[in-house]
Amino acid sequence: MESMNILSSVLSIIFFFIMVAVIYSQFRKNKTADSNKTIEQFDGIDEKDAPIPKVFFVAYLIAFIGAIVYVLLYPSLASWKGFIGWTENDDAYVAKSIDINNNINAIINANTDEQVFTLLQKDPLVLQSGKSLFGDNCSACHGQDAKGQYNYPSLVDKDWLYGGSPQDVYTTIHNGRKGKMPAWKGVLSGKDIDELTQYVSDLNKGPFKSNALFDANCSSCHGKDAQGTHGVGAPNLTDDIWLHGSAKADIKRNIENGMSNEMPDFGERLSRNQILSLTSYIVSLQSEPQDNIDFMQANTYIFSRNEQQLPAVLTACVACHGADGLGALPGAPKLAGLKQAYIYNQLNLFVSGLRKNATMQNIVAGLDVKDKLLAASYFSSLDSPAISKITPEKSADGLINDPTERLIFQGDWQRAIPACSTCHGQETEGSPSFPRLAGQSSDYLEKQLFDWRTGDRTGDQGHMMQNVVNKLTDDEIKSLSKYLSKMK
Amino acid sequence: MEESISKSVMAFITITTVVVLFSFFVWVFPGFFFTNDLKEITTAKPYTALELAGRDVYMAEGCVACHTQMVRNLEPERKRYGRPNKMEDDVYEFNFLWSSQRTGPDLTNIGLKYTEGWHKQHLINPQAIVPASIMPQYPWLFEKKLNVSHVIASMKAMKKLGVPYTDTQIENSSSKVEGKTKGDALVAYLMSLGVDTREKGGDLN
Repeated sequence: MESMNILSSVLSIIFFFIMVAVIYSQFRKNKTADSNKTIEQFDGIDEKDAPIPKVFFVAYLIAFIGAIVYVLLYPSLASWKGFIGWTENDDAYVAKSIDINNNINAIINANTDEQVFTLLQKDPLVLQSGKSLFGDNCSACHGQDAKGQYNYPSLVDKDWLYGGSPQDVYTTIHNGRKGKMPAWKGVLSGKDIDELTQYVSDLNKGPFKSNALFDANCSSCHGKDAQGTHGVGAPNLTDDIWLHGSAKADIKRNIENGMSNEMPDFGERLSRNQILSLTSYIVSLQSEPQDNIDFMQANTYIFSRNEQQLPAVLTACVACHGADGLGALPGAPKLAGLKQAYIYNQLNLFVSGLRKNATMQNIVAGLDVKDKLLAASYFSSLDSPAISKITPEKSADGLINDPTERLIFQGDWQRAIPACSTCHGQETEGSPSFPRLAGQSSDYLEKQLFDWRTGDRTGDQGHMMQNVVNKLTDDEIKSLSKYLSKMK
Repeated sequence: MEESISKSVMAFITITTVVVLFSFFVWVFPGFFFTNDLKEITTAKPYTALELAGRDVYMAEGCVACHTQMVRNLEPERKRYGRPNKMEDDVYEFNFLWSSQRTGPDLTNIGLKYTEGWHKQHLINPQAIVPASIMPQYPWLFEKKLNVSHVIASMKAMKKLGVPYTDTQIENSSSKVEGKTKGDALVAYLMSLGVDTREKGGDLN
């Protein structure tokens, strides 16, 4: 590629000088031109040897100077980048367009999700941008008016397949949905299918009556009362909304053959702010948008927490531990609430092999000291739920009644087991040397306690933790893990 | 000199040819040597047998007459059609289907937008889904089966032109397209557009 660039450049320069030479020779000849001399005659018209007008030479001069200036300023010859640093990407035509990013970023900062969506509803620019995004991306299926059509749900009514809160709508747009109803032909007899068809088509016609066949086969998705389930996208069958046809033949066909309906995902195609404005627009189409916002869990900070810029090296960490440090996969511990020194120390234990876990050892092997410190400081900076004070019931002699609570807060001196709270803190909130236990995932806690026993996890001062765990029974380990995970 | 240009045809032809050759060597000739570099950096992948068959249907039905596959790097186009085309996206395209007429929307990144089911319904009856659409209906595409020998021949042709299909891929292609309709192939082709070259979130920004 480089040699070809040089070829083009050299040829361009040669051609430039030939042009200059030709024009210059004409300019020289101009002096000897004689406008009275006739060169030739065509049909009585004389061709005189008149000089070329000066303006042509001026124009050529300007063009030559312009070419040289252009070559100096812009990427032109071979790999020359030009003095003004122009790149192909700067070539984009920038229309006068609405930039909603600042509006949305300002709203997201330090607001709960509920406040975020309430404020977004009030921003006309956000809704306008959502509307044009809807026209480009959604209207082909859901219609320009969002009222949907056969096979494509309406977005303006109150009947939501996967939930109508802004968080649900956001998730639907970002991840897409793959709804699947199994085929019942061959599982149920023809008579049963006919009975179910009749039952389902009558569901919206009178007061609800249960049906043994429906309970046995359909209720796990559509619910005992046939009201549908948002989690799996099973529709409500008691209302008058029929996405795939209301005729008995349609219902029967869907029971027999099943149904798979897909909403594509837009998470890769649209930015977060675009999906937020799209979500806000869709919610604004509802008759009472505030109702939908109120469906959300109160006091979540999903969007404002994601606002924190995530360093690239942490992408592997957050895949399992979550960007909020609350654990994205089952079995991955919550890191929010652990202290920086503790996390850093654990990372080093994985490197030295004193703590064994194939996944973690693999990932940590690629980190240098700076990365490990960064990971430790990032996860320790995340907020974790506060722990409320627990006052266990005690008997007359001062011992805690519940055996699990007793182990945590008092220990068992008969068996020389110290209380968890001795090292992990009064509320097991942790310290730079000891991890927080309260609210940690129970699967994780249980595995760790067993790992201490088998020696897959070591590295504690004087085998402190191992000595404690060796004295615990399997049942105690299980009930401790459960109890600690529920402490809030 | 001007005497000879105006008097001698040979001089005129010679000088014109030299000027044209300069342009050829500067603009056209280097392009012949870029292909391997472009293959290094491209994220595009060769079409599967079914997609290639669909591409043939796309050409046969004259989709290019109304649909472009060329997003220019202008904000309105990026916002509406997604990532702009790059030179290296087209290394396995023989011939280009950029087109120049946009009666319908651009299709460069259409594979990221809709589902297979949507495309099928839309091809059979576009007006059923988008009432204002003026696109013709193509219901027969889903009735006519693909001709397997044509697909194999077209894969062999692509291989000659430089698409890295292996012989086993070409042999196996018959089982992949057997029994499929022309419509299935076209939908597979449409669903593949823009998928290999997609970039991370916020493309439309």
